[in-house]
Amino acid sequence: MFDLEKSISEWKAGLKKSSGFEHGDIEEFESHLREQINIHVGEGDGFEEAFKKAIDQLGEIGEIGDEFHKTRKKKTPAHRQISKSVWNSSLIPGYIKVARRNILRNKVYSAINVFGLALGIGSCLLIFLYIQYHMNFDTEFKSSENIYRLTAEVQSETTGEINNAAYVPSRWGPGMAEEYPKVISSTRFFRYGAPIIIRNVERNQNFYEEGFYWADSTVFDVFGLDLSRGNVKTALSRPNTVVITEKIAKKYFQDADPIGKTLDYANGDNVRTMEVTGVMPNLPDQSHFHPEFFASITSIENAWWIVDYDRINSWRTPFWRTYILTEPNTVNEGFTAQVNSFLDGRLGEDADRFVLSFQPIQKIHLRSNLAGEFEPNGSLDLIYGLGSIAFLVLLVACINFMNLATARGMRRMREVGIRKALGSNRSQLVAQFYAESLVMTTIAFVLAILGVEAFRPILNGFTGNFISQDYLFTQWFWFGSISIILLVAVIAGSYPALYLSAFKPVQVLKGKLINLPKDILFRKGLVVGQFAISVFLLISALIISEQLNYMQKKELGFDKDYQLIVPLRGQGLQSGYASLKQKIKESPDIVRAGVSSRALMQPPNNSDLYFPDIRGNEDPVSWDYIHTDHDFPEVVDLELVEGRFFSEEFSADSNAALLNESAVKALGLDNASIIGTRVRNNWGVDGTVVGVVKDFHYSSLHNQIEPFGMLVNYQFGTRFLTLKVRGDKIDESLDYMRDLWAEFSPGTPFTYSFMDQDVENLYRAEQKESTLIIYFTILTIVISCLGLFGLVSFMTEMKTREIGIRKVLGASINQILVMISRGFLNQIILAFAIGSLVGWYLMTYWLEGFAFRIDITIGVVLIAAGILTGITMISIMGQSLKAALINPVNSLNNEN
Amino acid sequence: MLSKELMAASTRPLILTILKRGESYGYEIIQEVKKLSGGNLEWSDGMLYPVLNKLRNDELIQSRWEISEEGRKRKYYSITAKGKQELSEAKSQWMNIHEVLVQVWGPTPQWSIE
Repeated sequence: MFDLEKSISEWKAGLKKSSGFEHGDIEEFESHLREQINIHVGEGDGFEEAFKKAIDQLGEIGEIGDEFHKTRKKKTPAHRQISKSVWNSSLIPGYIKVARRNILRNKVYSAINVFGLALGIGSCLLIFLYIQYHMNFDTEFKSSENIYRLTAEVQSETTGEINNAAYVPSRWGPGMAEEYPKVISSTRFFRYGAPIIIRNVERNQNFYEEGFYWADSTVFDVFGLDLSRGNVKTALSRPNTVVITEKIAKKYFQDADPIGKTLDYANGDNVRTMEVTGVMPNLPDQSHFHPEFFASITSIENAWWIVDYDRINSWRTPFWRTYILTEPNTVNEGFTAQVNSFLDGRLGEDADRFVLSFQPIQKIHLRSNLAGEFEPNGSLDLIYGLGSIAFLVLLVACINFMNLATARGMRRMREVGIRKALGSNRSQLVAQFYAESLVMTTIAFVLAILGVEAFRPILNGFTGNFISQDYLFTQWFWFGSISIILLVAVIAGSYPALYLSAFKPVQVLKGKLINLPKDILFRKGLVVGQFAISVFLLISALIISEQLNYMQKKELGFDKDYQLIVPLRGQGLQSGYASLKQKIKESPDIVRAGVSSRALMQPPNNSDLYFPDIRGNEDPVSWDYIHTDHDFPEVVDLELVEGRFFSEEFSADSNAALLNESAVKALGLDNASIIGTRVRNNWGVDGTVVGVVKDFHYSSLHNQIEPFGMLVNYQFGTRFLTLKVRGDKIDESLDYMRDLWAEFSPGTPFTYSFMDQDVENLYRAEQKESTLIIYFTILTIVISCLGLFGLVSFMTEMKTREIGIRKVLGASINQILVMISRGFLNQIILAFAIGSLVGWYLMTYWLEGFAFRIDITIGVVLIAAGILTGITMISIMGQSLKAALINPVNSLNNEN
Repeated sequence: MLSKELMAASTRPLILTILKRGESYGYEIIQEVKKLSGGNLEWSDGMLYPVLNKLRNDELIQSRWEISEEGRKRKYYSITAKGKQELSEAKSQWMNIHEVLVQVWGPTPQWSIE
């Protein structure tokens, strides 16, 4: 039961709480209210109805309170000019207070606004941290700006092709250091292309290590590393010595002193015992390479695989990654030219084939993509892409903020006129809007930081980076943040501030929208902009997912299911391969087995192949091929189109070759005539082609299918075992293999991977991109919808009277809904067109990075259309429904 | 459809005029303002009270409390001498403007202030 007196008392209590009202005012209001209620009751309303109407007619109590507050504060004679200065210090806390009241009064709007902005700022901040992390690689070495990597453009003697390599001939670095005093020191590195095994015999621990580098003793000089144990000058002078990082020391020796202890090194059948002669600090994570062991090059100087291929004394055999340290400001065009001539002198007639360049190490991580990088580098494109996304998201959030702030402000337009009567001026009103904007932006910023801290570990997990908390404590962060808060507050606050306080038409009060063409255009533009961005992101997300899906599912031309890939890294495995294979064949669970120098789908690698019968003895091609045993092609079930597979029944097959169709075409022959022609390479294979296989994807779908061959050679082919196992006997097969490993190479850990998993991992970069884009799409859509929600709320309020009238005249709820939605339809269509075009264009460009790709069909665009339209309609519906259900009487009661 | 500036400027003279005719209280004044402005004034009722307060601060009107028979309190406002003076100045200013505009635009059909 409605209790009038109780309601009035409660209402009075509420007034008392608001500042600005004195006792007398409240009594005056009460008296006014009661008269109004009586009138309504006289007209036939119930008490509750009358009460509500009267309250409504009285107006926004907060606003009224403000005005009272103002009039009371300035108890000055009437003619004293109210200060026009906004910077009057006693007014600023006042602005904040009023701002706070305004914000609290419209809780829903404020919450939406702050939340949307926080999302935008937070995402922007996260991306910024990521970008900043990646732009700061290789900066922590002493004198990082003066460390350079030597790179070479090498023209092949035989094929004339130019290779951009990150590795150079052995003598270049040391030669340069000798000749030019400004080159303080140089160091060479070699790292084997696959993990090697390190064993601590004492404790019988062994691990695969990926950070084992052969290095010159000068490595510490070049990179400015101090040794916490051991002598920097002598640590790496003797053969078979190694310096390890603190982390490795802990891993193998716990807290004992590692100096003088030994670690065994095993690379296939190459085994050495190394003495630990030093401990160095862990190298920074933000670096383009991550060495954990430096072992002396003197150990391998005389190894057969160095000497036989002229790798240690040569000026022309590119092999070593080489880094130099120079004095400041040494490297420039002139110097580079100088050193190139110096090298030309040493190279004699080969001078034209080599061009040296100096690469500052800080430019490696994002900008380098040469042959022979230590690790796959990041990409500048991704950085730019992310930077743009960050900017877009922030933009959308700001647009949203502006829209909602404007909408809210319009509600208060009614009261603005009175302010004029009381002497307020425009600059004060403007300041008020800015104050609100500032308060909300600050709150949003705080929320954003909380969000970022919550998400940072997730981001680190996702990207494998280690973005730390340090940023919170740096000066530039706080300086930058305050600048951003001010910037966003000013930009986002400008529109409502300047616009609304310009006292434009009374139409607003009568429920019509502000209809100056340029203003309508601007607001429509905002809506279109937001949605275009959402559309574009959605289309990108869909296409990237589709491409990924395509790549996972595409027929590769060979059998990748239930294939185990096992690297042969331990001692005794490669040399004992013949008997190992026998034993493998004895297992009923392993269907087929074979070896190759490289597993399928690993990165391609070109080298010279000679076809004397076709091209003569001196004219090789530079193609990708692998060494294998007799069985490998059948293990992966390639499709034979001519000739036969390798077979041990033919003794000549110990030097045979298989080619793919593209190779045959490239040689200018047909499948039949290639059989029996001679083929040889520089690694000891000299035999004939015995068969032709159908083209298959021997490497990632990023690459075209080029000429490809398989040559039989057990010396170089025994690197990766490929096993086809029975689907229901996987565990048994693994156990069997583990036993074999223990038998043939005790102490070597058995590791393996599944070929289909490896294939998936090829596209890991794209999977990450896809996930990222999906997250951002969702984010942008959420922000846009929040904005739309707020706008619709506002519009329905403005149109309340119009809606009421229409209902009285008999409009149905449907018709009302249509009326409201129609207002947005054009904008959404336009947004859609723009977003689609941009999306189409950019995605086409992205897809070109794949030799095998999907086509962009209308289907994708339509799906995006459908999803967005659906979401938009839901946003609109919620509010519209509320409007459509308004009781016409309520909305009409303002007409007296 | 008056502009904001005009509305604001005319509120005070309007109230003063109403009070010149005789003492009145808040609710009555507001209803009268609405009636006189023919529905063109679009504020909420409550906003008039701060205006009254300001007029009082400016010493153009004064107020007193009266208790009715039922025990209800009402604040009555009346115009001061200063207020009357202010009103007549305002009136001549408005009329000046009016004459000038009439000269320029021609006479307007329905508009009278009193």
